[in-house]
This record gives sequence, structure tokens and C-alpha cells, in this order.
Amino acid sequence: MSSNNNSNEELIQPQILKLDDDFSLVKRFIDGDESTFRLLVQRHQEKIRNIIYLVLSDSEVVDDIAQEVMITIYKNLKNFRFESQFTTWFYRITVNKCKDYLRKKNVRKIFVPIKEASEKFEYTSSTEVNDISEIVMDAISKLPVKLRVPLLLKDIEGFSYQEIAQTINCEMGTVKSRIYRAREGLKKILKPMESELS
Amino acid sequence: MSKVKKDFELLSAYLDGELSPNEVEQLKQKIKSSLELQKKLEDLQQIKKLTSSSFKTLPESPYFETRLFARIELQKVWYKRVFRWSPAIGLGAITIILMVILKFNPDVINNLINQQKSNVAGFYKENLQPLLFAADLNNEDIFNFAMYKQLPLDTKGKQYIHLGYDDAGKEFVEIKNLDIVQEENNYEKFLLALELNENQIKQMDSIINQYAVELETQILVNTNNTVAINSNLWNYQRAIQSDLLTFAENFNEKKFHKFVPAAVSFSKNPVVVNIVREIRTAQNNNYIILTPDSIFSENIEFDLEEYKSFMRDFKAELSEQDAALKGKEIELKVKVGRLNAINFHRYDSSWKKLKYDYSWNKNFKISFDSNLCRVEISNFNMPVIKILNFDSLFSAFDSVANNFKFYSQFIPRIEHLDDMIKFHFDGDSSKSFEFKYRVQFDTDSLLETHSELMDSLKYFNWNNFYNFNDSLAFNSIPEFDKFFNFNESNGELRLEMKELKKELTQFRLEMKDWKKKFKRQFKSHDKLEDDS
Repeated sequence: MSSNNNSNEELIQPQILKLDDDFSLVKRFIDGDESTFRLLVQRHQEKIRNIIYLVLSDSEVVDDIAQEVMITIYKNLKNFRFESQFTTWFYRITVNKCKDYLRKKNVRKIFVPIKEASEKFEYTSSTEVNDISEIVMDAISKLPVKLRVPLLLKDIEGFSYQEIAQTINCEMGTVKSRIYRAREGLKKILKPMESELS
Repeated sequence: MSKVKKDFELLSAYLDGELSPNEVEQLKQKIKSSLELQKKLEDLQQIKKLTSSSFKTLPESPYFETRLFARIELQKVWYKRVFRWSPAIGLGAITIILMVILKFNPDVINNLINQQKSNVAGFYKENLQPLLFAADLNNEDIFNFAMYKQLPLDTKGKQYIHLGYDDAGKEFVEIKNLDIVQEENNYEKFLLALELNENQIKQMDSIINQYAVELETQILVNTNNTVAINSNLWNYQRAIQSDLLTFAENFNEKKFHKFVPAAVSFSKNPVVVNIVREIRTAQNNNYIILTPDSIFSENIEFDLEEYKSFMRDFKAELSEQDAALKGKEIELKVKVGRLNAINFHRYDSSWKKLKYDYSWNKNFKISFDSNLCRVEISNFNMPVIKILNFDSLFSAFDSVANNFKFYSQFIPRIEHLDDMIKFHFDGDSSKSFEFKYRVQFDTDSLLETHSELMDSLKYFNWNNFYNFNDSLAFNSIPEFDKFFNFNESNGELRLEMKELKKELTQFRLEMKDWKKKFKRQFKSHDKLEDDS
């Protein structure tokens, strides 16, 4: 009996729901079961935190921004229209929050007294970077955001070009070009440290 | 984009597994035949390897979930949501409250404005004190007020308050700076003209003193630059004027009628006596209050007795402290400062700000010129004295006052001598003097001078006009030249000058005739006076 019911439910569910299990959780949330949000958080929080860290290269702000992302998701989940994958929507919000943060940070920089700013600069530049992965991550952080994000989503998170295009809201051709340019840029940045990397 | 770069991008996408099988096949063919592509593929592989292997995942955040759901719960609280809308809700609520209030009590805003007005009025009405004390008025000032309707506003006599009536008979008040030379000692001249004895002078002084006391509450001033004028003051001036003239007539009727027509008699007119009695006993607390930024009328309950008692105490305190502080210079200065503050009154130029919005209820009209500020009391109900022929009676009083002024100052007795006239001012015996003026019109010499001037112009070389060594004129020469056409040889100026010379010759002849006639008339006039 119960198996019959399940098969009926599967039949009436839209095709897309089968592709992404997140959809069923979202649907239950929309129907009033807010406890499913906890499951969504548990499922995606590490990914979200890592993406934020990759984009910003600053572990101190990761949790705060991740919380902002989750709260935004929570507030807007009832408006989710099932037109794209849940994760794509989720990641787009995350990347946008990171961009907001960087924008605000750049604005704040303008108002930081010159002395304080130079002290900060000295602190980061004097940090000794010995580990290869640290050298590479440091080099990646020097790339512009628009090149850095597609590269990391591809090489670290394993997104397809299509997923990246949906996440950062651009064409696939653009993603292909940006990833190549990011790799070229990275090569130039790492050139002086070739001996350490080999 | 260059073909090579496009191939490089394809290599990058190839490494990411994002090419179709066909694209992969074509690219592989190209790589086989191109060392450059092989090298590039190697580089890109190395970079991809580095980036893919370099990232170390973040350690878990143990309290992430707890904190997140605490924040979400907090945001769920209803009033937090409401709080976001509080500005809009507040605005809406205020609008509704205002609508309800205005519906049931439409005058609330006017009442609020009136409340504010009364607060401002309260500020300006603070510490009002009699002008007589502030400006230290003496008998001369009171006499001038009675006769000429003006009182000084400060101890230095730099500003005066002047009452009057416009052509329509409505009252006005002026506050003016008196830069022009004022006649002095009018009261003394008045007493002299009446030739009063010592006892009569004492009586006249006592009348004036009595009025001075009553006048105290009629004009009030304070350090907030406020002047409060009792709306009965115009009538009061008339009362003092009529009383003084009546007494003058009683004291010395003969002398009095030197400047008053014999038919006019005030002392025998019962109306005058009534007027004086009525005005003096009338209680009027309504004051016209002139402040630096507004004009309004308010009732002021001024307790003269209380003020007098305060002044007595204050003077006693002052004298005590002055005695105690003799030799202590610094503390004495403090006391002097306090005195000055009380004596101070000065109407300042901020009054000019009132030009457009000065009157709260448009009862007053204000106008300015460089020397005075005039407030016309056009729509305000002034206290009226119901006596028959009141206005005509007082216009008679005013003309008497003017006659006296004219009599004592301007009408000399003229004595004609041969070529001299003597002016005798008899009205003021103590200050009587002779004014000699030699009449000698030398018309011939005058005309001669003019004629010479005209001739000199004839020979003036206008072409040398620019050679004037005059820096002031130099700048104006081009303008002069344009205006007068000096450089035109056949200019109209020459023709006009010829005409002018002709007219002057004619005038010279006429003046000669006139001179002869004048001498003849002069002699016959003197002869007639001698005969009489």
C-alpha cells in the first residue's frame, strides 16, 4: 500500500524534483515544515563556507558571511521557483554576498587612515609563506575576483562550466575564457617561485 | 581573438573535460602537429594540478548551526518585523491622529500658534519698567511730550518716540534718531514768555511732576528692546497739553494771548476740564508692544506701587553697597554694570527685518526710512473719548503749541535802518539778541562778472581742452566731449551761448530798474513808520 503511494507521489512530482533531492526539502519548507531548513543547512554549510573562503581568502569572516547567506536563503526560500537547481541558486547568493562584502571592504579602505593601511599591508606582506599550497592560494588571492571565482569553482569545487555560468550569471563562453585567463595569470604570478614549486 | 589564443582556451577547456568528442578529436590533431600547443598544454596541466591540490578545507565550525538558528529565531519575533516598518507605521499613525484632532478641534493649530505667540509675548513683556526711570526724563522732556508729542527713549537722547495723527486722524508712533538740531529749553522759554513769577513757576513744575508720575506707567521699556505704549497715551498727551495751557492761561492771561487768539479760551471751557479729569481717571491696561521682531497688542497689568517699592529697595541696596564698596574698584564695577543694564534702552536696526512680516494680526503698518521707523495704527481700536468737538479742540491746542514755538523762536520785531535791518527776538527776553544783516545787492558787479565769464568762453580754444592738467576732469573728458560737442566748430553750443548772452543783457537792464524801485519803496516805508 505504502509502496503504491510512494510510486504515485513520484509520478505526480515534476521531473526536475527527481534530479535534485534538495527540491523535496524546499517544497516541504514552502508547505510549512520549517524543520527541513535545518537539513538544508547541514547539507550545504561546509560547501558554502569553503566557497566563501575560496573567494575571500579570509577565514575570519567566513562564518559571518555564511550566516548572512543562510538567513537570506531562509527569508527567500518561499519564493524559490524551481527553475534552476537549488544549489545553483544557493551558490549564486553566496557569491553575491562575497562580492557585497568585497565592495564594502573596498569602500571602507578609502576611509582607513594611511598609516593604519600601510601597517596592515606590512603585516600581510611579511607573512612567510613556505607551504606550496599556501603559495598557490596566496597567488590565487591576487587574481581579480571575476577570474578567481570561476577558477576555484572549477578546480576545487568541481563545478561544470554550465553550473559556473549559472552561479555567476554569465555565458559559458565567458566562463571558458575567464578560466583560461585565470590560469595564465596564475602562471605569471607563480613564475618567480618556480624553484620552490618544482 | 587570435586563433592561437582560441586554441589555448580550448586546451584549458579540454583539461576541464568541457569539450565535445569532435572538438577533442580536432584539438588532439592540432596538438600533435604543434610544439607550442604541447608546451601550453603542459603548463596548463601543471597549473590545474597545483590549484586542484592546494586547497585545504576549512575546519568545521562547531557552533555555526546553533548561532544561525538563534539568529533566525530572533528575527522571527514579531515586533522585530514590525520595527522594520516602524517609520511608515509611525507616520501613518501621526497622520490619522492629526486628522482626528483636526476633525473635532479644527482650531488646534491656531491655538498652538497663539500659545507660541503668548510665549514670545511673555519673553518681551519680561521686566518691563517705566521709561521715565530708564531714560531719566526731566520736566523739559515732559513739557516737550505735552506740546510736541515726543519723548526720548534713552538717557543720551539719541532716539525719540514721537506720537502723531495721520491725515485720516489715525494714530501713529515713530521711533526716530534725532540728528537734526533740536530746540532746547522749550519749557524755560515757555515760562519766560508767560513772565511767571517764582511761585507760579513752582506751581507749573508741580503740575508737570504730577503728570510725570502718572506717565510712568504709560510707556514701559525693557532690556529685550521692547517698548510698550499704552494705547491711551495719545489721549494722555492731549490731557497734559490742555492742562498745561489752561494753567498758563490762568496764570497770565495777557501774555498767554500773545500767542493765542483772544477768542480762544481754555480755562473758561468746561469741556477741557472734563477731558483732563476723564483721561486721568481712565484705566487702560492695553499696550501696543513694539519688539525687535513683531508688533502686537496685549494687556499688561503693571503694578506701579510694587514697582515703586522695588525701586526704593533697589536704590537703598545700591547706596548701601556703594558705601560698602568704596575703594573696592573691581566690585564697584560689577555694580555699575548692573546699573547700566537697567538704564539701557536702545532700539536697534534689527527692526528693519520687520519690513515684511511684523504684525501678528495685521493691525499695524510699519514703514522705514534712514532716520525713523513709523508704526501706523490703522486697524486697531484705540480708546476713544466721547466728547463733542474733541478733535477740533485739540487741533486748537496743537496750533497754540506751534504758535508758542513760532512766537518764541521765529517772529522777530524788524527794525529797518538805512542799509541795515535789525531783527529783535522779544519772546525770550533772557536770550533776546539782535540779528544784523547788511542789504547791499551789487547787481552791477554780479552781472559784470557773468559777462566776463561769457567773454572768456568766447576766446577759449576748445581744441586745447584736452590739455587740462586735471586728473579728475581727465577721466570725464570723453563723456563731456560726447555730450557737449566741444570739438565741433559749428556746434550748437556757440549759438546757445549767444542767445544766453542776449538774455543776460536784458536781465541786467531789468535788474537796474528793480533796484531803483526797491530803494524808493524802502524809503517811503521808513518814513511811514517814523510818522506813526
